[in-house]
Amino acid sequence: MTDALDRHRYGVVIALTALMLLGHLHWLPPLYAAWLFALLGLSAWRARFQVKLASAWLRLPLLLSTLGLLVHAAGSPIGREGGSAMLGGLIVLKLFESTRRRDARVITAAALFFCMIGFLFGQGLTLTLYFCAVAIACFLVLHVISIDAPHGWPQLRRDLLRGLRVSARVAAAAIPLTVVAFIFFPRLSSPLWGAPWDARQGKTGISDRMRPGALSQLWNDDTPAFRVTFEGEAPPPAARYWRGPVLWSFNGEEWSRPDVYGGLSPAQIVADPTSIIEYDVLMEPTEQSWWFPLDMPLSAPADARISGDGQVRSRRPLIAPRNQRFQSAWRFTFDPAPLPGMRWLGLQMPRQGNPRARALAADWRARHGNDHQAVIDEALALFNREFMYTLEPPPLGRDIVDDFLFETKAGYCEYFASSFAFLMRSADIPARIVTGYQGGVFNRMGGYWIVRNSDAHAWTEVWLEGRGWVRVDPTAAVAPERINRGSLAAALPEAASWYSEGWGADWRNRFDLVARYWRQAVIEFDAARQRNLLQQVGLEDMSWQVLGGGLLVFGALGLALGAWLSLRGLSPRLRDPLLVAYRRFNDRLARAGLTRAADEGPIAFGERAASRLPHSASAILELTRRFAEQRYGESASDENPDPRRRLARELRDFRVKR
Amino acid sequence: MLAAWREALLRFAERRLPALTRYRQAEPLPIRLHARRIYILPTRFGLVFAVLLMAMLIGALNFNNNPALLLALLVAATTMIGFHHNVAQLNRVELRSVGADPVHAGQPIRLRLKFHVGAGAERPNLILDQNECRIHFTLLPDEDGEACLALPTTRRGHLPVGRFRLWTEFPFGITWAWSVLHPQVQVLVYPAAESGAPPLPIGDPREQGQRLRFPGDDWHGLRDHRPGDPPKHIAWKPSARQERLLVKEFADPQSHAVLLDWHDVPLEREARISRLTRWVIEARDRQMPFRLRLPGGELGPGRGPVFAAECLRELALLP
Repeated sequence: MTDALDRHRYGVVIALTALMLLGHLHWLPPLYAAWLFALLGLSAWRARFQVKLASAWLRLPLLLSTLGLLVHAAGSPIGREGGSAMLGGLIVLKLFESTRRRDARVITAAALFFCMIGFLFGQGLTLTLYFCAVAIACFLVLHVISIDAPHGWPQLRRDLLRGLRVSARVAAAAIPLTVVAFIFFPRLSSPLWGAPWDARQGKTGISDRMRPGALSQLWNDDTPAFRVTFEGEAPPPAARYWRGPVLWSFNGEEWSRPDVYGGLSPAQIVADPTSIIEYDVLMEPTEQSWWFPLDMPLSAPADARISGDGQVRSRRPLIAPRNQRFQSAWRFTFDPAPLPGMRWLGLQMPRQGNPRARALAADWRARHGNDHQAVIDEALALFNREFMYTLEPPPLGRDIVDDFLFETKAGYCEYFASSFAFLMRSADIPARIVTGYQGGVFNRMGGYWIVRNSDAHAWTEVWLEGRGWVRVDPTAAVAPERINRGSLAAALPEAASWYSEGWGADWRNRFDLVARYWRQAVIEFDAARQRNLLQQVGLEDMSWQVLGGGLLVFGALGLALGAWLSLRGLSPRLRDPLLVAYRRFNDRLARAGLTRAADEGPIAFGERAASRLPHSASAILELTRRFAEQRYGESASDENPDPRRRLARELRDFRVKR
Repeated sequence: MLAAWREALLRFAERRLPALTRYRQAEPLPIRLHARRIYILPTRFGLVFAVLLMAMLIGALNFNNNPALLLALLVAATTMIGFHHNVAQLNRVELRSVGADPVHAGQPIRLRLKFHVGAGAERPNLILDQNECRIHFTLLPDEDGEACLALPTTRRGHLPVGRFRLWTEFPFGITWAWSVLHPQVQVLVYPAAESGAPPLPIGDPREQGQRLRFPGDDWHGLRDHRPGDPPKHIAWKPSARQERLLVKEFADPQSHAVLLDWHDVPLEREARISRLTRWVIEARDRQMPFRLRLPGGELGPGRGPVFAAECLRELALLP
């Protein structure tokens, strides 16, 4: 077997590597991805013109520059992202020293592994289908490089076509076994080692810091943040606030959560019992620990905590989609008794900066005295009168609150919430910022609500004597449609896209429905769901033995089914039952030591057999004669199947007598 | 060292565990492969692949990453179904005949193995090997496929073709399936011809009162035409005179055929056979009539390739 890899097959391996990389473009640093594709192009060029460039003096600089670029673009070559990107780079670099079939196989196997790595960065249906297709392509390449054939394009094309046919056929036949194994494979109840998230904060969604302008990348992000299925009626649009991180500290630029504020006892909520509602949240992975329940959650999931300011935080980052049941009340009041330290936190301010805003607040305070509600109304009226809601506000200077309040006067929720909270604190009214989502779109087909990342929102809560914390949404004073219609597109014509309404929305809803089924049926399938599923078919005891037994039994069935399905066409069976029976008859004689030669007719063979096996001679001769008659004689027709059938049965029942 | 152990182990297995090596006994043609005599093992790459699959499975389970688990399971299941396709490639393949044109010892003999497979899909990239000799071929359904394998020869006589291994890595190169074919077939190997042998022992024609004649050179007399005589042997002029067809009669070849005599070659046995072989070849190539006298008897006189082949066969089979 020649072990050398000709350039055509080398080209196929390059194409496979490119396909593999395509599935990772969504998370690879763009510069690094471009570099990898450039390397692919270089190796393709090298193969096309058979340039000898593979010496160590080229490979070492390529390796170093790839590593350098990786560190530049991704930060480090370790960790989840860096490590994965490094692996991708090494696969591409391996192409430069691949001259043999063995190398090509190693690359293909590594490409399979790298496809799996891709699921650390996204688990959507489309991505899964794509990577499964790449896996089939890997098998296709394995087939093509295992064939010893003359080089050249026509031969390769034949191999490719056959490889495609074989791999697709085998992979399709593998589906039953895959499904069975997926259902029965024992799941780990706790990981063997830590989850591969990076120390740094995740990219998507809302974080626990806020500075005006920071949310802007979310506006264009139409991916779902979570989906909600309400038990019964959905709350009215104006009540659809999804509560996320509560921000207390302001350093003049940025709002954040205070480090000290972790141990407050659960919020004391007085809920209106008619507004208590139960619902399921199907959360997309955010790599952070926040849940976004409907304001105000009454309880926390088992592995999460609810804090005194109403945040629900999971103990572990949400790296995989999760389904969780919540109970909330959308009409509620906080306990008006202040908690110790809360007032101090709610009034904390930087010592300097934003003097005009401080002066304005002091002026209001002087005018209205202790009537906090009047101060709030004053501020909301100011926003309503003079401010504009836009997603593309002009940039702000150093004193961001002053700049916004007195110069630009245009912005979106973060700007309003931030300035409003600053004004309140300046007027000696405790205030805090709540980030999360507002709104949601109903998917009629699926009967659930989708809240997208573009629905991210920020609002404020102020402390009023005797009433506790009260939600004030200054954005509502400027752009009430944003709140009431429940979607950003409604508030701003410029944010409306073609697919938000009409037939586009219809298709989007359909696609989202499929995506949600995928989430629930596959991505979220864990030990608990496995138990539920198997209990439905009566397997109460979920021990290892039961799972292993099920895997063995049903896996064997799936394997047999797949093998049968895919091999059916390969060696077609004899259709004529008479021939089948005669072959059986021959097999029995063969077991007695008599093999029919290829050139031996049935009658001659029958005579030879009869002379060797005197005990069965008469039966052999009789059966052979009748077989020849039925098969070759005058009466050989299908018109009268009875004698044929009888003969076939007798041939099958024949035994050699000793 | 390792190879020697392996060899010893195999020999032991054949002696002690005939059931395991049942199909390694010589068996008559045709040999039809079936699932019970086809074996399958992972290739070296297959072992690497298995380790990789384990890593994928454990990783996916650890992170409870179901799409990754799905992918790993799909790959594993595809590999497993691939086992069946691997074996199916050899299933129902039939070895129908083994033949070879005889060669002289020392030259490689080209064995022609005729395979056949019934209706169905083609069987690409089958590999047939014996020791170091290896050949790739593709079997098309319902057609006889021929694989030619050149084996080295060392000694004259009947050469049992020995054991072949028919194997394939189809479809993915992760496993290889093989079956051992040991057809009960012998091929003939002529003795090696001596190089630098003395010329044919023609001798001096005058001394022996004979002249070396080449066919068609000379004729002794005439006889009546008998049906079946070639027309170019008809003597037209005498026939015209006699008014009946007369045919030229040629000299009795025996009288002047070269005698290649075993007893006249003063060498030891194999060298003697080798020299006689060389002379037979020479006589054949020169279309010369000759007789071959061996210890067991005398062949000929005769000439041409067919007679020469007969002589070579006798030489090859000398004890």
